[in-house]
Amino acid sequence: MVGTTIFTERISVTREQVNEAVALLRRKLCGGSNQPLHQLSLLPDAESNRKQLHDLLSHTIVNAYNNSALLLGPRGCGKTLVLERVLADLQSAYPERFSIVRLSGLLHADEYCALKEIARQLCVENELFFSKAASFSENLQFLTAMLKECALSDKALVFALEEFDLFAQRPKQCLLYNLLDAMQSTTSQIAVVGISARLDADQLLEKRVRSRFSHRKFLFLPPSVEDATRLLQDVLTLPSDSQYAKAFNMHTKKLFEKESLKCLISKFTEVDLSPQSVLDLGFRALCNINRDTGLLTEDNFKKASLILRPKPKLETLKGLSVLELYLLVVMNRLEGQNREVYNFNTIFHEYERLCGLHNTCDKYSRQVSQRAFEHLLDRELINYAERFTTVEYTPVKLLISSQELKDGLHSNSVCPTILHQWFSHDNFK
Amino acid sequence: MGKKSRADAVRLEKEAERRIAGEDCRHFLSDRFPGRNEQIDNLLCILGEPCDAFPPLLVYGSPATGKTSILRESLSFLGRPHAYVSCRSCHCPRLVFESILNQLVGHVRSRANNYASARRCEKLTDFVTYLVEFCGRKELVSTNCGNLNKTVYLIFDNVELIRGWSGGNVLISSLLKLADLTRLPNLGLIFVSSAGPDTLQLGSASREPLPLHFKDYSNEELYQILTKRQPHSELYSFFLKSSLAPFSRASRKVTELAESLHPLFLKYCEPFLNGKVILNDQGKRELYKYMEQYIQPAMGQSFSIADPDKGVNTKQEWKSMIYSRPLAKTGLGFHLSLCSRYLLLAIYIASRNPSTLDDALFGSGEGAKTKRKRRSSMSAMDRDAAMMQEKQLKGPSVCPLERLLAIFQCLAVDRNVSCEKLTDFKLDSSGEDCRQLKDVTSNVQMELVTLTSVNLVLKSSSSPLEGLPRFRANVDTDFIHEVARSICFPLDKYLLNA
Repeated sequence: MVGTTIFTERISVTREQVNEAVALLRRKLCGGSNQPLHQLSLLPDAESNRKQLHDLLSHTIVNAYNNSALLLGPRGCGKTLVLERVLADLQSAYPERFSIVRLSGLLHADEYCALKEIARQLCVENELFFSKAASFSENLQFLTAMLKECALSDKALVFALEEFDLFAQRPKQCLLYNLLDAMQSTTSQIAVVGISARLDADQLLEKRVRSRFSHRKFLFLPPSVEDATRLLQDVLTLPSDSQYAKAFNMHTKKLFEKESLKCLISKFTEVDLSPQSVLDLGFRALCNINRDTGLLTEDNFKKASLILRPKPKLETLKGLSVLELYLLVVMNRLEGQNREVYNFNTIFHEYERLCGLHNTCDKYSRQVSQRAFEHLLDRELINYAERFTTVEYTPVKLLISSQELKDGLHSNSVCPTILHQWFSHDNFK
Repeated sequence: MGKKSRADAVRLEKEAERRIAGEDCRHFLSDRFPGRNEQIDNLLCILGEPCDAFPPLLVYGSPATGKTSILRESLSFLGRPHAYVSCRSCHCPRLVFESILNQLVGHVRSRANNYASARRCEKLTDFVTYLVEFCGRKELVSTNCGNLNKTVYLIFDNVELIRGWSGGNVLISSLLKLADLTRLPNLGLIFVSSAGPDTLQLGSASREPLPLHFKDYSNEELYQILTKRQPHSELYSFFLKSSLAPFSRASRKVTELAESLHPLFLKYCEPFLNGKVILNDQGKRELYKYMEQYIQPAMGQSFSIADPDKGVNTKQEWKSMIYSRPLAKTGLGFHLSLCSRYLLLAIYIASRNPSTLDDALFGSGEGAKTKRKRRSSMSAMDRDAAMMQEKQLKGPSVCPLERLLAIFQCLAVDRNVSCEKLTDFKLDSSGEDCRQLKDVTSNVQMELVTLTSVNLVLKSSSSPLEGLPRFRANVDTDFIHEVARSICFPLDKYLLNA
């Protein structure tokens, strides 16, 4: 009852408050590894993974057990988030007891780069001077010396390898071999954690590397719709320290209880169920928020889900000119006649023939049609089947299905009726 | 009490100011870019406030829909720090990286610094390191609101071109993940592309960026845009009413329309300027009638202009440029020696006709007759004709050098007599007479090389069995007929289904 009274009367709220709240929520939603992490609650699966990983790494730090692990799962399921949170926890629990080296397969798959980057990060961490000109062998020597040094002073090294599969795809897997090999010796105290979106990442390892890897895998799978919705609701909750925040939370809670919104979210997640995509939906809805009232509405979510799941082909077809549509329909007819190879010449010939038969007003010269043909190429609705030299003779192929073309014809406002006939009747001559 | 209320007043004032800035931007942009209100609203609400977190954004839509202009205008109007780089002008990763770094430090390449960049940066690793260094700079990101940093926007234009670079796919995925790789919370990444998320091949190694589509202009929007540019808006709007509809049926690209409508408008103004027509209802109707005759031919002409923003980047386009202009008048517009004219004709005939026909055409003449005599049913003949036509539409086929030279020789022998008449034509540079044509010497082969180098003839891969090079004519029908006419050569006689 109290809640409804809050809703019916307009809450007086300043724009500054709204802006602050939106900024905070945006930061929470954007996620990524670099945001303040402790605000976000974890899903149950991820939480158990976090505990195990925490135990594993603290074992390395405290008891000097060398360990390696892989975090596997589709994109946007919280692998990096969990690792970063574990590292942050450990850093507050055991400060100065370990240092972190972060590598990414996108940047450092190449051994030279990787070794340089390791040396650089270790130098920064230990306040040493890093020389850019250092050679590969010097860096390698530095690394081995550092490993020994760290082990002697009871300091652990944690290597976090993002896009682990890219490291594994290098010939000889030099870096992985060296790291995992160092793990075997007693004179070092390191842990290697790999993150990959490929579930078969450990199968990519060579035999000599695989035998040194300790086969600990943590699987991150997309949650159920309910869990994902709950996560989104959690994230969209403000710390309740003001009148406005309380009203906002109440409103959001009400909104998430609505059947229609649940329906919308479950429909949205049919394509991609990862928490990231649900958060994206929340982000886009938050962008649509009316900054005067400062409350999320169902409309915001509806609009967001439409924008986030675009139909690019249909949109492109919607914007085509009449002549471009004619050419596409002619191409579709040619494909229907089982012609394997056709080029602009063939298309134009067929187009002229059909125009002559039906006396349409849209009869264009060859040059104009060729320009329209080039537009289709630019829009990537058609593509060259093979490289030839002249535009008119180069074989092309259609990149859209006939169903897509049909929808496109219906959605295009300028499409003449005769085109529908040409399209739907293959033997219409 | 008094203090507090003053603080409140200051705050309210500030707030009002800020609100006006947001509204102002919206007005300013929608005024400058008609028909883009929806996109502008979407863009502004995603951009949000100066310190808001910003996920990767993909702005896409077909060319000339205002993607880049609106994005850049809005960012500079709002005074957000940003760097813009187009992957078309910066055609390799190094240029892209260095251009962004230059803009972030405010470095301008000039004679004084020997046109050097602020930092030399070839690899993505270095770029990430420098980016961390530069984006943390105080003067770029400092704000007066607490400890938050301003978002720095990096705009990558024409990202669809990166697909064609070596290692392009990895580069795209890494650019998309740049915020994670640099661990900078205040990095805003914007990608502008003419290819949508479905064709951009973002690959699996990245998270999906937020899409923002710029749709094509509708006819009314085109009308608004085109009238906006014109000083004589009344006359022009009347002109557009009659001419835009037929033109926009052929092409909806605003740059092309503006270009092709301009000469037509000059034509439209003529009777008005001459004083023949006064601008009243009667006059307008007259003008309308006067216009109708010009629209169709104007369309044929104007759309053939080479696209200015595309430039002439392939040899093929050069070729079309070379002879598309002079062909409008008579003559070729450039000189070809007699020998090369014959050679060109020979190649054209060889790549047009099936080799089985050679005997009939150039042999004793018996073959052709016997073939014609053979009776066949109508349907079979139809089918044959259809097949032949199909083959012709596919374009010139390749023919081996030997066949080509043989046909050339036959043509030369055939035409030996009539060549006397053509003495006013310049012969080979040496000025030898056309009997020279008879023997296939190295001279002819030289001509063939010349024709190949100017792309009138294409050399395709040699046949795997014989190892001889094969050739294909790269000229269109109009051109070859022009050549044939210039030396009074009955080309039609030699072509099947001419």
